[in-house]
Amino acid sequence: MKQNLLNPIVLIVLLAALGFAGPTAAAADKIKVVTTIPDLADMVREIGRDLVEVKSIAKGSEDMHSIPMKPSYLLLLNKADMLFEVGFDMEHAWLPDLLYNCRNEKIQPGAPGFVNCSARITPMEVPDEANRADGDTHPEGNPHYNLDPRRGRLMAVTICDGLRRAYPASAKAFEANLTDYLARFDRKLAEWEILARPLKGVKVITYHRSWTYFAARFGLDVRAEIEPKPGIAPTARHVARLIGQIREEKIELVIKELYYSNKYPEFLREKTGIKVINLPNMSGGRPETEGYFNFVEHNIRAILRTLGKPIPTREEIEKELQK
Amino acid sequence: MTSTKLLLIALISSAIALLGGSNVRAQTEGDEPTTKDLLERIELLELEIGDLKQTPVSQSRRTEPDRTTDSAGSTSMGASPGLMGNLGQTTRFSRTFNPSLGAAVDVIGNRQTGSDSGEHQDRFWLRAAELNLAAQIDPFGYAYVIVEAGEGESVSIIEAAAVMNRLPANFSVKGGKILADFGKFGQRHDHELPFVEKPLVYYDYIGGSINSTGLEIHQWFGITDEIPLRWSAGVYNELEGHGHRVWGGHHHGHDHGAEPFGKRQIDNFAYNGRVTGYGDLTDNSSLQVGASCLWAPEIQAFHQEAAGDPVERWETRRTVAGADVTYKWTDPASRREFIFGVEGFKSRGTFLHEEEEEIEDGDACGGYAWCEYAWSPYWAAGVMGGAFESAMHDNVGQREISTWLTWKISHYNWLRAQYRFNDLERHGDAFAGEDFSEFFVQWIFVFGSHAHGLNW
Repeated sequence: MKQNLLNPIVLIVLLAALGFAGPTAAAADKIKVVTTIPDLADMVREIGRDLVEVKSIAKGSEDMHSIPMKPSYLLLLNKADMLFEVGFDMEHAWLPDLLYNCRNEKIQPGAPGFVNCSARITPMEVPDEANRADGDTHPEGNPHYNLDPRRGRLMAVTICDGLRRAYPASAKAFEANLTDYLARFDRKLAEWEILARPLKGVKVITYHRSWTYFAARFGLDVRAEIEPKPGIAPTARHVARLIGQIREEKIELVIKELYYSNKYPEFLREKTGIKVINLPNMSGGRPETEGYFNFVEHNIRAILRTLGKPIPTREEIEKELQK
Repeated sequence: MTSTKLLLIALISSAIALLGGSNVRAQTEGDEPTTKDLLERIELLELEIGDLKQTPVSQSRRTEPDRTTDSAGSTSMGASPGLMGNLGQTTRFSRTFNPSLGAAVDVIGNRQTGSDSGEHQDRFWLRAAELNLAAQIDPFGYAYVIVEAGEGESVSIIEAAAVMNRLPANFSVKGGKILADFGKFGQRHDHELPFVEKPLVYYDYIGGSINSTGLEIHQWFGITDEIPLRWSAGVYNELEGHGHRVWGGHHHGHDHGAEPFGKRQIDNFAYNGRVTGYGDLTDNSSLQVGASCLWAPEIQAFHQEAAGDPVERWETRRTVAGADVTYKWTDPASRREFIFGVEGFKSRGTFLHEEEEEIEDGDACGGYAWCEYAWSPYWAAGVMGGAFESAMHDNVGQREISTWLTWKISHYNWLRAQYRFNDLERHGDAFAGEDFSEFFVQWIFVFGSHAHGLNW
């Protein structure tokens, strides 16, 4: 048979040769770290400092449940020395296949390079049974613990553990960096406790069930969600019920993640006068939320501003801290 | 009783009273704050303990649940691990290593106007009910089986394959019955498509999908630090087909009498290959470029007539080559997405004209372009236009124009409506009355274990 196409055997040999030559040698000077969300990336940078080179798969403005699966992430993971994930099945829709196909044994679950940052976290909202009648629930519990800075502190400790385990020769450097980071963290925690005092008891509605941990930490009272079930689009009946609930319970605020539609929160605002705020649920969702500390503080201050609550000045916070 | 003993009893009583009292106070001060406080204290204690011990943290609960299911046997026996130890797999009916199990159901309602073709009658029909099982075989690979039943068809195994994916240099080998890696949509199951049916050129040139038994080698690597390239090469026998349609394959509703026609020998196996590269243009946009080629040499086969001896037949050779480009844009801030794709094919082959018993050479070209815009995770709409020359008949071609709307009620439950205009034509001399319109409604739902894979 006359063929115009390249001989398949030659083509295969050429491609295979390219494949062998393709992967470049990893740079030996820095630990290549991939994290699933930017909060973890920021903490790894704080604890690893000049020993690490960090990239986050998710961007702060994205929906962490449904990050687009790109073939380029295979390359990123293939060259990684370590992977830090949120856990509690937060990444279940996009990480497993990337992880399975990235062909990097160093970062597979169970290997020293794989760190599940939920290891120290006590989960909230653990369902009695996994049932999709409850929407996109997470059998191991609500995975949005990154929004609670006290749990964030535990994330940092786990990250240090992971780095120390994978690179024991640099353990002392990681521990020193962690000690410094936690000192700054504890100071921030104390500041945020003071800053967030006016939030105690404020009744809110959230779009998705992202704010459970944040609310528990700072005393917000989450009365309902705009999604009837996690991951399910709002229905007219559900929104109508929310209007009644807002009026009856005097709910003050709707908290919406950046990537959800404004349609329903705005509708609720028009009907009831409830205040609406758009907030990132990961650091870097807005330019002013780069870095975990900025992210947490931005969210507390933004809520206070939206509610018209008094915001203590730096001097007032300092005075409180010295009491 | 001595005074010392009395004193001791009094002290113990006081201690009990104090402890009991503090407990009562803790309960009466409100359960919720107390629970939160305790959780917080536990977390802080965990932190301190971890720091003190400086021991690595147990990494993933996800890697460990199988240990708990190990005790299925002991549970069913009603034995206490403390008394009997862990009975592990002593039970004949351990579920520990069962595969993950999922199902997908694809139901179609179809209405056609403008033609009375019996094959396209108006109806609701079950296109496919698919059951899939998958599990790791051993440290070197995994296996999966996909069993499918459609209306009026027997149950068939669509795919049953092992994937050895721990080979060096990112190689993997897939073997068994598979959907061959051809084109942008050739390896996709119907319920995974963004529209109701594959572009019609797929059905004419390769029978929808190439469902075959054979072996494929896959490899991917980075041609730069950010551009991955994937290629595959496969060898197959038992390509299904009949007469003109050399690759009848697995497809529904457009199966023009395909039937299995004998196994290929080592000197006339069919071959397939695909190469595709992917690059991020910006943070929010990407481009994928691919090329595919299928080559099936001439084959001698034996066709069993209803009665009598098998009849020797010569099926004819064919080559189909294709190229595809897909552009994708996503906006994470609003969860909007836009995809544009185009794919062209060239088919070259010889065909046995059944009626005339003449061998006919034929070259044909075809292709399609499509785009889809999703303005939320729940809603998407798209259009597709395609045209092709028949791979089997000179001077015959077909054009299609489609538009569709998809409502994703949830991640697992989709409704779709589609309109398609079909224009059958003979070049320079259109068939009278062969233009027709089709309306589809489609309901897809999946349940059980469900995983996403990279499709590129």
